[in-house]
Formats: sequence, C-alpha cells, structure tokens
Amino acid sequence: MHSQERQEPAIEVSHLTANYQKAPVLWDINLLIPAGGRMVAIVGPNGAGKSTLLKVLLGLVSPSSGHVRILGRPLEEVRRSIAYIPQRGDVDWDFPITSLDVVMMGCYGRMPLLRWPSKRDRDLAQRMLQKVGMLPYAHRQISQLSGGQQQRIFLARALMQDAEIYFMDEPFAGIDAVTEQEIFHLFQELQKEKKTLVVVHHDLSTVERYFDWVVVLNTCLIASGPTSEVFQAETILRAYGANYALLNEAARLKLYQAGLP
Amino acid sequence: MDLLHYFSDPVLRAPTIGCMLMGFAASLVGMLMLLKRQALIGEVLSHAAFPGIVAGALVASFFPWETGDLSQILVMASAALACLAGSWAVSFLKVRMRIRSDSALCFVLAVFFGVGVLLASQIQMTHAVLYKQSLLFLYGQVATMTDAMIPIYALLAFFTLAIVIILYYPLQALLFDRQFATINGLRTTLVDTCVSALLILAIVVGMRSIGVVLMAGMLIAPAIAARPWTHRLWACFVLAAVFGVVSSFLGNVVSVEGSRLLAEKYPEWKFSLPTGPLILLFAAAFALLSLFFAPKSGILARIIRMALFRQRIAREHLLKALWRKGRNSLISQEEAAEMLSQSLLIRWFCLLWLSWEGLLTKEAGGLYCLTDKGWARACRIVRLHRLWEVYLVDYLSQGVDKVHRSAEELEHVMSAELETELEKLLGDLRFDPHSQPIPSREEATWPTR
Repeated sequence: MHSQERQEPAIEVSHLTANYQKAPVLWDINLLIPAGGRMVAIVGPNGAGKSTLLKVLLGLVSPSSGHVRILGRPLEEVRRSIAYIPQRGDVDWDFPITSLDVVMMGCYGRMPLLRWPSKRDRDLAQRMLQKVGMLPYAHRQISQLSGGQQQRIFLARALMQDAEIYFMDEPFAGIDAVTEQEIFHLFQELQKEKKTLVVVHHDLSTVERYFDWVVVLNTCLIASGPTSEVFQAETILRAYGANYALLNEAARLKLYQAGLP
Repeated sequence: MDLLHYFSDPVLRAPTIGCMLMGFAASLVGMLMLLKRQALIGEVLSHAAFPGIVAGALVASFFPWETGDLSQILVMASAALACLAGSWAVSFLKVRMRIRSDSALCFVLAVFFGVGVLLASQIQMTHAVLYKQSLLFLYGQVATMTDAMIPIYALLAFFTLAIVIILYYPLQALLFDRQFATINGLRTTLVDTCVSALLILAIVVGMRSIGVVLMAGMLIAPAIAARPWTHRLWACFVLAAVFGVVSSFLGNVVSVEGSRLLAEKYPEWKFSLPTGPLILLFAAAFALLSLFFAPKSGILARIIRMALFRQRIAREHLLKALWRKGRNSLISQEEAAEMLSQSLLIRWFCLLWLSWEGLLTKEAGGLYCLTDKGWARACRIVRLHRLWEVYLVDYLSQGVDKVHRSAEELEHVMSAELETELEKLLGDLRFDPHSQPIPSREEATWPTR
C-alpha cells in the first residue's frame, strides 16, 4: 500500500487558471511533478506568476478554475505533508518571538487545537536548530538575526514539520554565499530522504547546479521536465522574451470581463 | 490612607473592582490588536457601540416595571450587537467593496457614531433620563456601578483570559506568520472570530467605566507600555495586564482621594476628578515612561548609547595621538586637552576612564604615559584604520586621498569578526596607501606573547 502511494505524483495541476487581485495571472496550466525526491526550480521573468503558482499550490490563493492535487489527494487532506518557507517580506519581524518559538511552530499543525507543545517537541525543535547551526541563537529575538540566520530559522521550522513536500519562495534572496551553500546542503539531505522540494528561483546561473527538475513559467507553462532536457537557451529565451506580454494582457482582460475578482 | 478599603467599602468596591476587570480585559485584547497591527479597529468598534447603547436604553424604557441591572445587561447586549454590525461593515467595505482599510475604518466610525448621536438627540426631549444615562457611556461613570454587575464583568474578563490561554499557540502563529497558520490548517477563521469576539467583550466591559470614546486608549496604552520590555509573547500579555490593572486601580484611588481633597480645600469650586479619564492618563503615563526608559529601544538608552560612543571615540583619539608621539612619551593634562579639543568634562572623564582601564598611568609630576596594554590598544586602532584604507583603495578602487575620512569613522566601530575577515582578505601587510607603516598583529594584541 505504502509503495503504491509513492507512485502518486508529488504535484498534479490541471487546467489551472488563477487571477488574484493584483497578483500576476496564471493561464491554463497543466503540470505534473513526479514523486521520489525531485529538486524543482520554478523560473520565469518578473510578473510571470511564480509566486502565484506557489500560493495556489499551498491553498493561499484559490484558483478561478482547474484543480490541484498534492500526493494524489486534495490539499485539505495532505496539509501535514507540506511545509512552506515564506518570502522574507511576508513575516512581521518585530513580533515578540524567539528563534526557538518560531521553530516550535513547526509542530502546531500536528497538535490538536487545545493542546500545548510537549517537552519532546521542545527537544525536537532544539535538534532542528542544531541541524541548521543556530542553536546558540535559540533565545534571540528574530529581528536581532541577520537575513541568512533568519532564513535558517525558517528552514528549521520547515524541517520540524517533517513534511513530504517543501515549498520555498526565493530562499536564496538576500543571503550570503556561505548560508546559500549550507542551505543547499540541507536540501540535498532532504532529497536523499526522497522529499520533494519546490523552489521559486530567480538566479538562472545556479539552476543547473542546484536543481534536477525545472518548471519554466510565464503566465502559461512553457516547459516542465528534467533540467538537462528543459533548461535550454531556446526555452529560456522564449520565457524571457517579449512575446508573452500579449498573452499576459489578454488573459487579464478575459478574466476581468468574466467578472472574476 | 488605607488602600485595602477600596476593596471592602460598600460604595467604593464595585467601581474599583469593575475598573480593574475592565483594565485587565482591555489590556489583554489591546495587546492582541497591537500585535495584529489593527490598533484602530478598537477605536472604530468602541464608537460603533454608541448607537447600540442608546437603542438598548430605549428598549429598556419600554418595560413597564423598574429594570435597574436588567436594563444594564440589555444595554450591554445591544452595544455588543452594534459592535458586531460595525465589525461586519468594516470587513464588507474592505473585502467586497475593495476600499482601503483606513478609509473603511474612518467611514464606519463616523457613520455609526453619527447614528448614535442622532438617536441620542431624538430621545433628548422625550426621554430626558434615558438621554443622560446613555451619555454616561460616552466618557464612563463608575460611581454608580453596583455590586450586581461585578460577577458579570468578572465572568467576561475571565472568559477573555481563558481564550488567550487556550488559543495561545494558534494566536502566536497567526499573528506572526498568517500564511504559515493558513497552510498548516490552524483554523485561522475560528481564531480570527475569537479575537473579534474578545474585542467586543472588552468594549462592553469597558464602556461603563471608561466610556466608548476613551476605550481605544485603554486598549492600546497598556500594550504600548508592555511591548518594549520583553521579546516574549506571554510576558507581553502579563505586563500589559499588570499595567492595565494597576492604572485602573490608581485612577480610581486618585479620583476618589483627589475629589475629596479638592472638596475640602476649595468647596466653592464644586470640582471632582472623573475616574475614566484618570485611568487612561495613568495608562498613558506608563506608556510614555516605558518608551523613555525601556532597555535598548528606549529614548534614554539610546541617548546613553550615543554618549558612550562619543566618549569612546574621544578616548581612542587620545590613544592614537599618544601613539603618534611614540612609546614612553609623556604628556601633561594641557597637551591632552589640545589633542582632544573637547569640553573640560569630557577630557577629564576620558583620562579617568583610560587610567581606570589600565591603558594610561599617571607618572610623577602629573604627566600621563601609555602602559603596555594602552600601547597595544593604540596599535590596534591605527592598524584597523590603515587596513581599512588598504581595503578601500585596493578592493573598491577608491582614491587614496579620499579614504582617510571613512577609515576615521570605521576604526571605532569595527567588530572582531569584521577585523578577522579583513585580515583574511588582505593578508599580512606592512604599509597603507599613504606609505605609512601598519602595526603588526602581534603589536596590536594584548597580552603580547
């Protein structure tokens, strides 16, 4: 039974169209990412809808049409199997909370509503902090940490969730080269455990080094597949060229006329 | 003055305890609102309660028998309903009509309060007593609070505390990182609803003692007072509650004692101190004191930090000047004064501090001389200055004539880690861009081996 579950694709998106307030439009996307430890990069120019796609996959934005299946099931049933590392701008950095508390949040999803975290959860959180090299900073307030350190804390929280699929929105933005290497190293460990990583990535120069699967996006899906096959100059040029400006505008108009939000 | 009789005296105990329960509930909820960055919603909903109060009083007047406490409960319930309507109106304007949050809040505040004032002025002629009663809720009137209301307030305040404790972890996740809470299925809608309900409860508890106009201040002032002292969520709640309860108590005491004192001394004035505004003033005073005295972020701490930094720069300049004169050279106080070009107090303080640190010794005849440790410290400052110049010229291709200024500032703030990085990058250097010798690492380290 267990091995059969493994055969289900990690992510399956069919005929997905989304248009959420001012976020970039997604138009009729069909996407299939197989299970079994892929490191997936979502690339595309600014405003191509990379973050929107991630938010739809995570259920933060509801699609106008089409549907998403994670591990072969609807999102509601697999919430405990997904973890997300937010973009740095999405978090209230002044909040009164320590590194350890942030990592502890990783177990809230498993906790029943009226239960408090146990000693075991606390120990686990400390182990996760150790894993990302942040144990000495356990009781620091998060605003006192550097950008790279903050990113590691969020990685530790995601590890705490012990998920099957990890989603990240530009985890390498605004951090130093050393932290980038260490985070990548942790990614590889996750991959060895057959976890799937889906990363919105802006640095095309490191795509081939870090990822084995690439999703090229610009409003619609341009290509999706193993890096060696998909990540070709011709595909990238297509995605970053001006040709898609028209489609983008047309899609927006269509959705506006249809009275969608 | 026996403070305990505020809890036993049959006239004083109901107002005192009622106000403290109000301060308790309001400060817990206010902390939530502050962290949610929705402090204004408290102002809006408390004003939105006013039409409910008037309507409730009007309905109570139709009962043929003497209602008393029952009419109080009726007023509270209809105020809560009006708050609920206000909260619904805000979210309708924001979500459905796509109106920006601040505009929606202003609009709802003005419209609801306006309706309240209109209703009140309508009953002014027909129900003069009712009109007076509903005005009590504008600025609060504690003196007429009865013992019967205390259990109700206590129940509502206890309920607030219970919800904050039960939902502590989901609340923490939701307030800190809403997306995370949503993705993890932490019942964000339920938690949001609870927070709104708590806000309405706090307003209902508070409107009798502090009034709907001042309520927003009572929500937010204890929270502001508590926030700078800690970076732990539970401590924020505890501190806010303490500030809220203490200022409520003090407000009561000062109102009663102050009014009595004024009546004794100046009986012709007929002046009394209202409780609600006094409570708010105490809470605001706590908030101001916190902003001033808080460690790290407080204004006082910042001033001290700046003064200490300026003092350090002065000391390091003196060390550098001595270093330039050479090892074992002696200087008098007057020479030091010329080197420093600072005020007398700072000069005196500088020399005292350096001697205390063991960097300077006072030789015979009142002359000062660098110790071995002082020499090493001076070498380090010069070394940092010159290494930084090398870095700017060689790695950032800045003009040799332009780098002195930057180095003059950076030599005082460079951390040990930055120094190590710089040394790793530059390697072992002998001369700076101006062909001046750079003191070696050994020279600049104390104790030297």
